[in-house]
Amino acid sequence: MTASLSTEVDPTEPGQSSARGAVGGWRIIAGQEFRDLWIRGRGPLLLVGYSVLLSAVTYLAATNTLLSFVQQREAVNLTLQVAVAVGVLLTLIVSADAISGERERGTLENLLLAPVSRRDILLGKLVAALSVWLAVFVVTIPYVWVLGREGAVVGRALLLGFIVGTLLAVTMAAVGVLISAWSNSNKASVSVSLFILLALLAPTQLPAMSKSWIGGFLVRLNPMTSGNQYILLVLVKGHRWTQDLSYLVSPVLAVVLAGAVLLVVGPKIVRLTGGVSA
Amino acid sequence: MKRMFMVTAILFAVIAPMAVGTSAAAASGTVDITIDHSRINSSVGDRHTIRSTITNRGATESDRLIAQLLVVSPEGVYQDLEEWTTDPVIKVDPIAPGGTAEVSWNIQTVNKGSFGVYSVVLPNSGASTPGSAVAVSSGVDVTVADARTLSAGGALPVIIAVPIVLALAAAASRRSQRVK
Repeated sequence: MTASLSTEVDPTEPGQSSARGAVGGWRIIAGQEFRDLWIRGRGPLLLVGYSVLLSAVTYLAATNTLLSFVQQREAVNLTLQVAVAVGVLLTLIVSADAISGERERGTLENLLLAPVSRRDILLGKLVAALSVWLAVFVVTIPYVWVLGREGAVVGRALLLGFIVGTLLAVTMAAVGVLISAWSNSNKASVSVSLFILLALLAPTQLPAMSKSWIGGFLVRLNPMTSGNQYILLVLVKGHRWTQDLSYLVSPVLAVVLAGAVLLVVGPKIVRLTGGVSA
Repeated sequence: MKRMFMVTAILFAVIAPMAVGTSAAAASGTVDITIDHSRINSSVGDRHTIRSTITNRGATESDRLIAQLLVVSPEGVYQDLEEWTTDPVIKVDPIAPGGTAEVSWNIQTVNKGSFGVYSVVLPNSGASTPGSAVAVSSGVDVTVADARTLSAGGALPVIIAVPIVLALAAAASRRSQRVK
């Protein structure tokens, strides 16, 4: 995806090259990836697919008599949960392609020869992948507005969705980039990433898991279930923002951990040949 | 779980007549239970808190008890308690002679219509003397008005417009790339 990068970051002055690479290399990588994703790539199509899905969910929420009793808050909560889950999924799919995709397309060598550090490459790829989450969130806004406008929950819902969704998206994007750096093929990278996401998402479908102490612990331990539970409690149950902050501990810890591993271990595993093949 | 509620509902059908026509709490054995509402007017989706007080009228400590909320439809339509409240069953520790215990349920009125809401106290299945305490409160007459505010008509412009706008933008972007 970054085949043309070497010409872009190869200024005439060698000194300027290293300075540029040291200071803003990740920005150049992110900009190039962003263009590849949104102008020449699959970003817009992913977004169209997502909007069709969200339209279907919103239509069901607005017409289904079974859902009607739950009113705006539950309908908005349902839409937000879908937005966060799909947003994280799309972010993960894009990030899982970051390094292994370059390897498969034979463009990784060019990228590694560019005057940017490997940490900057990873950081740029991460930032570009996160643009998917931001785009998903922007598309979600009108749906949340139409469902929650009469219940005066739009602002609260959007802020909640943005905070929780961003924490989860950053975590999973970092995980996706790391797996991608480690994998030799896109198939392996995407498969492993999706498996991890599904393993984290599955407990969100278990009913009344938080009633027992072990269930409550597991809910708090898993960033996905924990984030979903926080949205539910604040948005639907009307809890105060600070009342259930313990549910945000694992999403925040996951971001810190995944980010630290990406920045410290990540550069060491970005090589021409990955550690795992399909 | 539903089977348990059905069994409880049958049990309730047997003991409910004890409560009918009385404004005070009905009692059976040494324990009685009161409820803090007689009527609730609500709309679909509203939340309410219902509190009950269990009193041990006997001379000895009661067994462990179970307090349960029941929602009965006059039309006989089964009401899933788990839709009305997340915890329909509350365990109550033994109550000293003359002592009381407070229990409460946060309910959400999920269906429109008229309903009777009762709180029932039953012996815990693990109690030493099962059946020693069964009591039902007076009923709360709950009237729930329909309050459906979501409508397909209101959401339709967004549901249709957003995918179309995005698809057009994606197509325009592709076309401009081809031209270049």
